[in-house]
Amino acid sequence: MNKAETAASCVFVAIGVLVLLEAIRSPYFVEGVPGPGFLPLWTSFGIIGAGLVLAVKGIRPRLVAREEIAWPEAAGWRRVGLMLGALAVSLLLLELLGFLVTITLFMAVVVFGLGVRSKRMLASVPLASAVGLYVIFAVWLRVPLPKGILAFLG
Amino acid sequence: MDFISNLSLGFSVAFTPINMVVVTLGVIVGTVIGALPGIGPVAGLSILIPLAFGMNPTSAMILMCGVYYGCMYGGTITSVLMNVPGESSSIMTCLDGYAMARKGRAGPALTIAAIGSFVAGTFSVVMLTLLAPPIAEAALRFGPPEYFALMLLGLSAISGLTGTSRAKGYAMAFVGLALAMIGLDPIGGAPRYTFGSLELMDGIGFLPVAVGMFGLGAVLGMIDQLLEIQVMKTSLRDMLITKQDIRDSTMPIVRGGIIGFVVGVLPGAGATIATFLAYAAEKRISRTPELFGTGMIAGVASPEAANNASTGGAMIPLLTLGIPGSGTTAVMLGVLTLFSLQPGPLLFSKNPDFVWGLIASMYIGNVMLLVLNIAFVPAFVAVLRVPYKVLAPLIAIFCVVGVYSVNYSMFDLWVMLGFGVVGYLTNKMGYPQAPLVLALVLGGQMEVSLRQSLKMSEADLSTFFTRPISATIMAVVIVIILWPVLNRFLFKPVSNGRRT
Repeated sequence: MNKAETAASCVFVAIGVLVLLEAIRSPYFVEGVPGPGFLPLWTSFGIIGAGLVLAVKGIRPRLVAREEIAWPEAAGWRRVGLMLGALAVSLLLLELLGFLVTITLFMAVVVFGLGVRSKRMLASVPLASAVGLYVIFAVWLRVPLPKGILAFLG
Repeated sequence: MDFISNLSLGFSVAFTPINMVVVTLGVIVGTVIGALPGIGPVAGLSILIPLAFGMNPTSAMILMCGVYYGCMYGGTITSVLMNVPGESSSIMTCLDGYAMARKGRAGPALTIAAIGSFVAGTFSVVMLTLLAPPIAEAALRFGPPEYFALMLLGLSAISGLTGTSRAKGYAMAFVGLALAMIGLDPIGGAPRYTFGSLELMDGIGFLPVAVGMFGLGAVLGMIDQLLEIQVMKTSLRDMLITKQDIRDSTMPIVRGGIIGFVVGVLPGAGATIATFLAYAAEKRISRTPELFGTGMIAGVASPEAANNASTGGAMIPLLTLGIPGSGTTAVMLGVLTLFSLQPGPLLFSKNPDFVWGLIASMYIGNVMLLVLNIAFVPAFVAVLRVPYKVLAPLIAIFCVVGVYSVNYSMFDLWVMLGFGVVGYLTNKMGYPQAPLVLALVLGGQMEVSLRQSLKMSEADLSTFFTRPISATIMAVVIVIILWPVLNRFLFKPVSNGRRT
């Protein structure tokens, strides 16, 4: 049994069931023609069907030519986790601290976490990235990026 | 006559200063993106959507197209100099391109790739110029059943023909369709799958999903195994080619260009399949097939011509029918919808300056790329030396700012983050992402066409099989879906393991 493939297929079946439960709450036909529940119902059958086929293939991998999944090693997972965690924290802080502060902190943490140890790079890359992107989006494209604690600068 | 007047209109739009700047920016950025391993044209386009959103629609699409065919050129650089394909359509170029580089002939490999790409790219734009208007005119007669059949064809082809597993492709497409149904019912206006959330009333946007799956997913893929890039050195002097190189490459470029264009038009096939077919055809025709893989210039010229020619081909169904046949053109369709532009037959009559400006810019972009990819290869190689430890978080932030800049919505950012994880995991597990994004882009329109068709026929499904055009398209759809079964019955294996 291929655990990852089987787990993924279960996720598809679960999504399909969720889609199905919601689909049956909408009318399938309205005045003799397909209603808002028509396509969702058939879509849910499609997801469940594809999920079941994938489950069989996952449970009995001899049925298909197996390809090894190139999962990263522990250090790779840590880097992925660092990036996702830092992004999630940045999204939480974005409106509070503002774009410039949040992105400078994000870049500093992630660049350091990925292994950059040069003091010059650690000092310049985060600030230059934040200011550069601010110039492109806020100044050139006039996107109202959150100013947060720097709002007093106008 | 129309050909000349259409093109003059197009060039008058494309030659405006802003569009010249945009096409230059597009091809340069595209070449860099194409050269960076791990970021293909779809990821590159997705990341750049927000930048394009700040422009007018014509300039935005000129930028997107420039990035698209720029990527095709850029992928060659890493294939030849590092033996790492910048994107999947450059895999075949590695075989002979890197072998040439190891023999000290990296320069001629890159030059022939640039010339082949230019010739085939220009050929495909000429074909686009000639074929698009009559196809658009014919498509004016299409009704809802034909449109539904066409969208089903695009979706089933991309799900069934891309990736290693059909079931995975179909699963992703169905999930994409389900995502497209979130929000208000497009006909009756009833809320579906909103679970009482105001944000979900507007549906799941194409932008956060595409940027998350392709852009952020690619970033996570870059950092889980940090690549140490070793690039062979090359200089402008090394780029010179001999007369023999030209003789050996001429016909492969012609054949690659034709194969690439035809495959590019077909939904679901795309540049990667075009390069595989072009390489296989060249090897079959060659008098010395055993030398392929050891540094044959034809093995570089033909796939490079094919991947560039496929871009012009792929634009035909997108612009004339509004049906994207690949992940990249699905992203382009999404961009057009952000501008409230509906690609399809009416685009040619309603927005001629947009369509012909875009097409004319592709001629200009190809010329620019020829010059850039011969004269400035050392500069592009220098970009490859930027460490991924800096590049990856920078791209991630570009994704964040980009998605935020369209709707100023924090909800969109969380959706992007979620789909970044989905994109990373699905990529690892071999689930193709293009079917999901294509289904999300086409889902709403597909449902409207389906329900309109069934309303017209009073819920009689045979309407799709009684109208000649939709019947033909549906027959192709059925063949694609049933192909594994048909293949088993039609081509029975014989005892020695060879198929009849």
